[in-house]
Amino acid sequence: MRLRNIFIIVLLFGCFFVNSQNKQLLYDFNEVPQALLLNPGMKTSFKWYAGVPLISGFSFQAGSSGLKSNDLFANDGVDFNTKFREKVIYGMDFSDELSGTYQVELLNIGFRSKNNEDIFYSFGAYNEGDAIGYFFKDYALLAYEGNTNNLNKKFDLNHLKTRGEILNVYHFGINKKISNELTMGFRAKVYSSLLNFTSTKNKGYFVTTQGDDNLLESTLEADVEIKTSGVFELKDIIDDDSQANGAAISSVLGKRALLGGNLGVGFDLGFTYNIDERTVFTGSLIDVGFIYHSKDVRTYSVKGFASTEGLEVRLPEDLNSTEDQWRTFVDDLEDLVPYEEGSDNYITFRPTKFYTSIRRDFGKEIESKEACYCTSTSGGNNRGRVYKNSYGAQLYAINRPRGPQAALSAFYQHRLGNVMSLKTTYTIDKFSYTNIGLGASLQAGPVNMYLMADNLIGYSNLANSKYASVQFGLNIISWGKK
Amino acid sequence: MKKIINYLFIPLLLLVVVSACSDEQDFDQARDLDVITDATGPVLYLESTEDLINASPVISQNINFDGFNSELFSDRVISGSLTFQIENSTSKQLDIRVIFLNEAGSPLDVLNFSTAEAPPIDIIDEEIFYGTAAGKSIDIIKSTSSLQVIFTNNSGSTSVSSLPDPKLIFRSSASFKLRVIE
Repeated sequence: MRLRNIFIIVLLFGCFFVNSQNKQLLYDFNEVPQALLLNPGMKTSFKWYAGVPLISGFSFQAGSSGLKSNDLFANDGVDFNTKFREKVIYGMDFSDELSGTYQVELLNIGFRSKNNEDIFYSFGAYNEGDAIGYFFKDYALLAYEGNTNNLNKKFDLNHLKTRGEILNVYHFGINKKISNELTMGFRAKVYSSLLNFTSTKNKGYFVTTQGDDNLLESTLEADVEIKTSGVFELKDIIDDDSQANGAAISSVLGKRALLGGNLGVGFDLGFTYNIDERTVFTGSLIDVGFIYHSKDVRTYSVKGFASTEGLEVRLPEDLNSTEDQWRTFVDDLEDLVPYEEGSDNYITFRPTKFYTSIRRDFGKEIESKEACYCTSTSGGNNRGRVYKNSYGAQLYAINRPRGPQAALSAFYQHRLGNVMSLKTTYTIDKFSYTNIGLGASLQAGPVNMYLMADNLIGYSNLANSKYASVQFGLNIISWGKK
Repeated sequence: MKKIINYLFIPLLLLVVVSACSDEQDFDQARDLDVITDATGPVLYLESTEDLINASPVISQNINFDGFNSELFSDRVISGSLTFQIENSTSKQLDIRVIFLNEAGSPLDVLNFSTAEAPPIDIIDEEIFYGTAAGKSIDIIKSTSSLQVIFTNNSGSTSVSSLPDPKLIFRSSASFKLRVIE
C-alpha cells in the first residue's frame, strides 16, 4: 500500500509539475520590473519601483512531456491497470521529463542612481523551488515486467536522473546604459538552500543471461548515488513526538532562509543592443552559480560489480562444509556491490538559463516619457522612442541533467499608450507545439500589475493539457518628473 | 470605451485562468493499481566428481538457502516454478533426491530424479510449478530455509566413465511472479 502511494505520488509529481522554466511572456517585457530578473541588461526607464512584498512576483508552471491527467484519471471506465500499462510503462520514454518550479518574490526594489542616471540598481530576495526527474523507464520496466521475458536485456541504471531544491536567493543588480545602442547588466546572487536532493550521474546496468555453469547468470554493475542536504533535520523533527512539529520546522526553515542554509553564489548577465532605430537584439545568462552543501548532508550509494550464477557447491571440496553457504553468498555480493551511507560535502550547480531575442518595432510612435523617467517606456529604442507594436522571436535554453533543452517563441506585443501593454507568444518545445500565451501589464497611476498565462488552449480542459503556467505581480512604479 | 476595455483586459484574462475547465477526474482509481512482475534468476549449482561417487555410495549435502523465506520474497511471491537440469557424464545410474526443509529442519517437499549412466551424457530437464492450479503449494517455497540434496549410486564403486572429466551436475533456476504494488 505504502509503496503504491509512493509510486503514484512520483507519477503525480511528473504529471502536474512538469515544465521547462521558460518565462517567454515576461522576457523583455520592459513595462514589468520583474523582467529585469530575466535580463539584467534590459533597457529600463523606471525612476524607481518597489514590489509589493510577497505578491510582486509569483510564478508557477505545471505540465508534462509524457502524461496528461486524463490519460490516467479520466472517468472513462477503462481499467486503471490498462491505462497505466499503456500510458506510463509503454507510453513514456526515459527522455520524458518530470520537473517543476515556482518562484515567490519576497522583496524587489529598484532605483536609479542619483549621480548617474544611466545606472539603475535593483535588489531583493525570492524563494524558489525547482525539481526535475526523468522517467526512470528501465527501473519501471524491471518492476513491471521483470526479467523473466527480458533475458539479455540490460536494464540501464542511468535512467535514474533527478534533482531538486528549495532555496532563497538574495540578489543585487546593476543595469547601465553604456551608449544609445547598448545597455548591459549584471546581477550578483547569494543562494541559501533550504533543502536539496540530487542523483544525476548514475551508471551501470542489471542483466540476466544464460550462465556458463548454471542455467542463468545475473550481473549487476552499479554506480548509483543519491545526495541530500537539509532533509534529515526536518525528518528528525517530524519523527520527534516531544515537540510541536510546526513551530520547530518553521524555526529551522526560517534560519536556513536567512542565509543559515547551505550557501552558494552566482550571477546573471545580460544586454540589450539596438541594431537600428526599430530593431533590438537582447541576450542573457541567468543563474551561473553553485551551492556548496555541508550542513545536514546525507549520501547514499551503491557501487560495484557482481555477477552470480547462484549458490555454488562443488564436491568433494565443499562436502560436509559447516559454512553457512547462504550467508557467505549474500556477504560476498554485498562486499562486491556495497550499499553505503555517508555525509560527504558536495557541490550542486544551478540550472543555468539562456535567453536571446530579436525584436522589430513598428506602427505609430508613442509619446516617450524617458526624459522624466516616469513609468515604463516599453520597447524604447536607441533614441528613447516607443512604438505601438513589436514582433520578434525568442530562444530559450536551460542546462538539464540530460543536456540543454531549448524552446523557440514568436511574439507580438501591442501597446495602448503608456497605460497598457499586451504580449502574445507562440512557443514550441519538447512539451507542446500548440503553446499560445498571453500577458498583460497595466499601469494605473503608480500601480503596475501584470498577469501572464501560458498555453491558453489548455485552459479549456486542464485535465487534457500537458502544460499550464501563470505569473502575476503587483508593483509600485515611480511617477512624475525626476 | 477604449479605456474601459484596457482596464477590463487583466480581469478578463484572470477570469479565463480561474475559470479553466477540466474533464471529471477520478483519482480513486489509482487504488486499483496492481503490479505483478516476473522475476527470474539462478538458484543452485552443485557438482560432484565421479571419484567421490565411487568413494561413497550415498552422498548427502545440506545447503542453507534463505532466499525464499526472506520477507522481501515470501511476502510478495504469488506463483512460479523451479527449473532443474541434471547432467550426468559419469558411468553411474544415479537417483537424486532434493528435499525442501523448513527452518526447523522438517521436510516440506521431496523431488526425485533418476539419471542413466554415460556415455552418452544423460541430461534431464524438469520444471516444477508452485502456486498454480495444477502446481504444488506456494507455501513450500515460502517456508523453505534449506535444501538437502542426496545422490544414490546404483552402479557400484568401480566403473569409470570413458568421457573426459566425468561429473554429476545439478543446475537450477527460479522464476516467480511477485506482487510489487498492491
